[in-house]
Amino acid sequence: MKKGFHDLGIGAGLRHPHFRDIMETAPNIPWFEALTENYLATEGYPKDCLMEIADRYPIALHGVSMSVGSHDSLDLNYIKKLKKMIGEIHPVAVSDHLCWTGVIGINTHDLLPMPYTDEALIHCIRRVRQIQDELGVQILLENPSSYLAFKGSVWEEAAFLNTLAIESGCGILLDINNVYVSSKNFGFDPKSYLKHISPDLVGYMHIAGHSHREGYILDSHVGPIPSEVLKLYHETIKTIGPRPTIVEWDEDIPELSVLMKEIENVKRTIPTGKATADSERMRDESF
Amino acid sequence: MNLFDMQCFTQRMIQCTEMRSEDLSKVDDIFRDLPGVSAIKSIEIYRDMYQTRVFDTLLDDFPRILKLMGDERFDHLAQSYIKAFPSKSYTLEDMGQDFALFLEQSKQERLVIDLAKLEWAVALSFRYPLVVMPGCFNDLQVALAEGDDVALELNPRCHVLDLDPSLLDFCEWLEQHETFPEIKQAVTPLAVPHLVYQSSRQVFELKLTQAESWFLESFRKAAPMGPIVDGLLERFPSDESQGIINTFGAWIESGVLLPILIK
Ligand SMILES: [Fe+2]
Repeated sequence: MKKGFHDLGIGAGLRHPHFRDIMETAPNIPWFEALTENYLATEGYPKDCLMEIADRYPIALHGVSMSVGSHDSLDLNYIKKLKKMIGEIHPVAVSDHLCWTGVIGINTHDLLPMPYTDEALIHCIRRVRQIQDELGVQILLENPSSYLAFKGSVWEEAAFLNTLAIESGCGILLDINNVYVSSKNFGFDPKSYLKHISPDLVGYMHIAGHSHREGYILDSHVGPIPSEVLKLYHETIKTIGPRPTIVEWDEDIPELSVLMKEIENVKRTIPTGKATADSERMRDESF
Repeated sequence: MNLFDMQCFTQRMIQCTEMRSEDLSKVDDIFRDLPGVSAIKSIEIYRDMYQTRVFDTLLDDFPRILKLMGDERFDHLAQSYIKAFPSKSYTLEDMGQDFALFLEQSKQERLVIDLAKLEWAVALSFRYPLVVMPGCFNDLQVALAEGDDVALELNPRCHVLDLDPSLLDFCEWLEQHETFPEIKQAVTPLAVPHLVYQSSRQVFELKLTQAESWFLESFRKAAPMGPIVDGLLERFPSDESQGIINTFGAWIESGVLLPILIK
């Protein structure tokens, strides 16, 4: 992560419908997070826009195809393209997910949950080290939202992710909505999840909306952000201190002005100066 | 069960259309029920998301195939396609790359196969820098009337359906148009097997005029199109020129367009 990254504040996921607005009106959004795969296979319009926006704003690259947990060998073609893009965009952070996307050469294009076993942990540690060596940068891994649990898991997800980060040297991208969604789907206390995450490892955060389905909650990234997620975000910041944060809005993507209002809304949940000072003191105490 | 076996089984469950009875009990062995959903339902959630994701990508890339075949036939075809050609790319954008091949292997009509090639070529062309899409048939009239001597032609084996403006409008225009009777003759309600294409007229025409002698010479030597495109990019570095050339480059690479001389 780059110098000054920690003070970036609340940014937004960079989405195609906003390209023109961003380039023409240069909105007061401190940073953007681009979805890596949307720009890797193209030299066309989206890439042009990204380059132009990256000239004016700090950009993080957030991927979905690293497939950190897959048993397959690493897709070096993907890593090579990503490395090239890192050289072009000079992102403030590079992230992906704690997941696998496919095996035996197939890609399901989904962020599939890991069985949290010792074997998987050792595999992921090796893998993240290899990725970071290839890329020459630290990566951050996001806690996934999930709807499936392996009976063979012997680790809590948060402890697995935390250990993986410590052992591999990667950072954590803490998605507050994902913590909330999984806590409801799996029936755990989101605060106890956060207790397992070392604050020092958290590089930045995601916050987003979700949708209620029969028997579970879907991580749909449809906004606005529900109050319970904002509350969890507030409590997290109160405890670990503020982090750069990205508002993710992927379904029914609104006008940029609506997204900016949502960013303001998230800002309002950040504890005030005094509370933030408190949070600095509490930072080491964790939850 | 080790990581590899767990991932193989999970993936197979997500990609299958129906679980066998032995799979059902294995799902219960490997996954646990969640407070609100059973292990089997958990798998179904992922399966639905998988199907929706790849289907939506195919729908985006092949809207005219969908229109031609209708929802049900298209669904059936797409279903078989993703089974036969599951994605092996890091990007969903490559999902449709073997669709035409699959249609060919499954013995679909020539028209459908060609249309799939055309649609894939369109999708691909958006990956090139500064793309300008060809599409307005009205420009054709002007181009022909002014007697351009170089143009791009659809591969005679390719058929075009319902482009913009609609085929009906295009047939109407052909009815009134006398200067190119062989096109008129070839038109059927569904297919236009022999058709000259023109993009945003002024821009393309301008570039052709500038390129004329070199272009003609290259065509006469039947040079492969790749070097022609590269050569044009070197000679005419303006944005519009590049956009048009790249668009046509993608179409030509896919075999939909052929460079021709109009006598
Ligand atoms: Fe996220």
